[in-house]
Amino acid sequence: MADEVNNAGENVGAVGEGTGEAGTARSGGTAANWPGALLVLLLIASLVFGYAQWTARRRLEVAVGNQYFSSFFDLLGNVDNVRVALSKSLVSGSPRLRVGALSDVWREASNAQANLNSLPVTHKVLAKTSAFLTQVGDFAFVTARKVANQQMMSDDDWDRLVKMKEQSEDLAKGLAGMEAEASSGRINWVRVAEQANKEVPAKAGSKSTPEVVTDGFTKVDESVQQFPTLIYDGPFSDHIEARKPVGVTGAPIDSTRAIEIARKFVPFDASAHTGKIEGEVDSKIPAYRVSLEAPKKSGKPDAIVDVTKTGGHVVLMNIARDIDPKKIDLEAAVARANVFLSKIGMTSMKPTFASEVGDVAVIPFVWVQDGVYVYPDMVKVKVALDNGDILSYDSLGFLTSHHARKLSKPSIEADEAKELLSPALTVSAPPRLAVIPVETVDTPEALCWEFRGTSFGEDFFVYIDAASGVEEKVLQLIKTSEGSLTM
Amino acid sequence: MSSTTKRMLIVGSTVFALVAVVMVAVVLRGDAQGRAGDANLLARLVAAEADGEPYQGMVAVASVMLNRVESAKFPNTVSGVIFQPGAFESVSNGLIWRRSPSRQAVSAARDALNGYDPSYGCLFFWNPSKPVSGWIWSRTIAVRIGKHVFAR
Repeated sequence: MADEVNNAGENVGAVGEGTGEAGTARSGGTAANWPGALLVLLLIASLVFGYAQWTARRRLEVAVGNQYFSSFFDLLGNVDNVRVALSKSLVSGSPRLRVGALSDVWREASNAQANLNSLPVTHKVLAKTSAFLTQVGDFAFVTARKVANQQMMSDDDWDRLVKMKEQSEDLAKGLAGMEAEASSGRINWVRVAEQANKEVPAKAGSKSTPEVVTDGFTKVDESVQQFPTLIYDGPFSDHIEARKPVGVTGAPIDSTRAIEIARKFVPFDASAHTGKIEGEVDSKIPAYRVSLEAPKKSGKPDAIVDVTKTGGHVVLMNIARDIDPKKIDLEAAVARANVFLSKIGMTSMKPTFASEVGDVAVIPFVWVQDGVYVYPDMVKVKVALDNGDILSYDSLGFLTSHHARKLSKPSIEADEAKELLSPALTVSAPPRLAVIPVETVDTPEALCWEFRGTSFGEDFFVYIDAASGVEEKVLQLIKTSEGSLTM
Repeated sequence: MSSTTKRMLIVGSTVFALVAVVMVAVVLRGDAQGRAGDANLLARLVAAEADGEPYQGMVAVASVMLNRVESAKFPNTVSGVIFQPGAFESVSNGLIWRRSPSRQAVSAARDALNGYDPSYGCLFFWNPSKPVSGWIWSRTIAVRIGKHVFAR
C-alpha cells in the first residue's frame, strides 16, 4: 500500500519539477552572478517539489484512511444489527417474523464479514472473528429456510441462537472499545497497514495507534475463540471440513510401486520416461507426487501423477503441453475420454456434461449404480481439442465419497415428483434418479429425481428428494461463449 | 400525410425494438460471462505471484484463492480474497496490474475454476527462501510445488 502511495506521489512531483526548471532557464540568462541565483532557484524549486509531494501523499493517505474508517464504522453497525436481529429472532413468535429476523442476521453478518476482512489488519488476528461471522450468517440462513419450510426449530438450534446472541454482544462490546479511538480520529490506518505488513508483534504496554487496533482485534478474536465448534446443516459448518474420505481403500504401497502405477496410468507409452518422486502430499488423502520426465527429443510430454499411499489410486494427473488450434468437436472429445476411462478400469462412469474452455474440453463423469447417477463420485477428464489427447484426470471427488451404497427405492414416483415442479419450468428430458451432495449433518447425500427443463429460455436442473418430496436444489446451466454439451 | 406518419411510426418502432433487443442481448451476455471477471482476476494474481513456477504450481496458487473463498475464515468472494489488505505482496505493490497474464496463467486460473486442485485444499502458500512471518510456519504443510510450499 505504501508503495502505491509513493508512486502516485512521484507522478504529481514530476509536474512540479518541470515548471521549476522552466523558471530557472529564464532567470539564468540575465543575472550577473548567475551560479548563485541558480542555486537559490534550485533550492526553492526542490522545496516546492517536496511540499507538493508531501501534500499529495497526505491526501492519498487520508483518502485510503477514510476508506478504512468507512469499513470500520460499517462493521460496527453490522455487528450491532446482527446482535439485534438475533434477539428478535428469539423473541418472534410467528414464523413470518422469525424468517425476517433470521434473514437480517444473514445479510448483516455477511456484510460484517466483508467489512472486517477489508481492514488492514493481519489475517491471523481476524481469522476466528471472520469465521464466527460467516457461520452466524450461514446458520441463520439455514434456520430461516427451515422455519420457512414449516419445520420446527430443534432445542439445539435454539441453544445455538442464544449462544450466538451472547457472543455477538461480546463482539459488539469489544468493537465499541475501539470505536472511541476511531471516533476521536486517532487511528492512522496507513500506519496500521504498514505495521501489519511488517508483521511486528505488538509491544506490551505501548499505546501507539497500530497497537491499539491490533490489540483491540486480538481481544475480540480471543473472545470468539471460546465459541464451541458449530455443527449444523450448512456449507460453512465445521463438520464439512472434518469429513474423512471414504473412497481410498486398499493396502499401503511404497514409492517404487507408485512410480510404476504412474507410468502405466498415463495415456501414452512412458516406459522411457524418467520417473521420480517429486514430493509427498500431506492432505486428507496422503499421496506420492510422481513426476515423469520425457527423454529429450522423444517429442513426448512430461507428466505429474499423484498416487495415494493407500491402495495406489491415482488422484490427479496433469500433462503439460502447448495446444494447437481446435480440430475436433466436443462429441469426439467425450468419446476419447470414455476410451481413456475404460482403459484405466473406471467402468460404469457416464459423462453428464462437457464444456469447452479455451482449446480444451472439460468433461465430468459420474458413477452410475443401477441407473442412478451418483454425482459426488465424480472424476473430471480434460481433453485437448487439437488431437483428442487426454491432458488431465482428477478423481478427488470420487476418492472422497465413493463407497458401496445401498440405494433405497424411491418412495415418490417420477410422476408424483413432477407435480411438485414450478409451472414455469418446461421439462425437456425424461427424469432420472440421482444422488446429489447435500450439506446436512446426518448424511452428506440425498437420493433425488433429476428434472432437466427450460424456463424463459434458460436451462435448469431441478432436484426433488425421492423420499420426502422436498425440492432440494435448483441449478441453472450457465452457457459460456464457448460450446457446451449436456448428456 | 397520415400514411407517411404511419410509415415513420412503423420505422421508428422497428428501430426501437431492434435497439431494445440488442440491449437485452448485451445485458444477458454480460450476465452469462459473470465468472469471466473472476477468471481474469485469478489469472492476474497467478501471473504476479507464480511467475516462473511450474504449471502445477500456478494452478495451486489459483486453487488457494478459491479455497479461501470457500473458507469461513476468509472473504467469501474472489475479489474480496485477492484484495484483502496485506494478503498478497503483488497486490500491495501493484505488480498484478503491471504484468498482463500469460496464456499459461489464464489456463491455470481456468483449471482451478473447474475444480482441479493440486494444493489439496490449502489456504496458504509462501516461498520458504524469502523472509516470511514466523507464525505461518505453524501451519501444516501439505505439499511443495516448485519454489512454493502450500499449507492448510
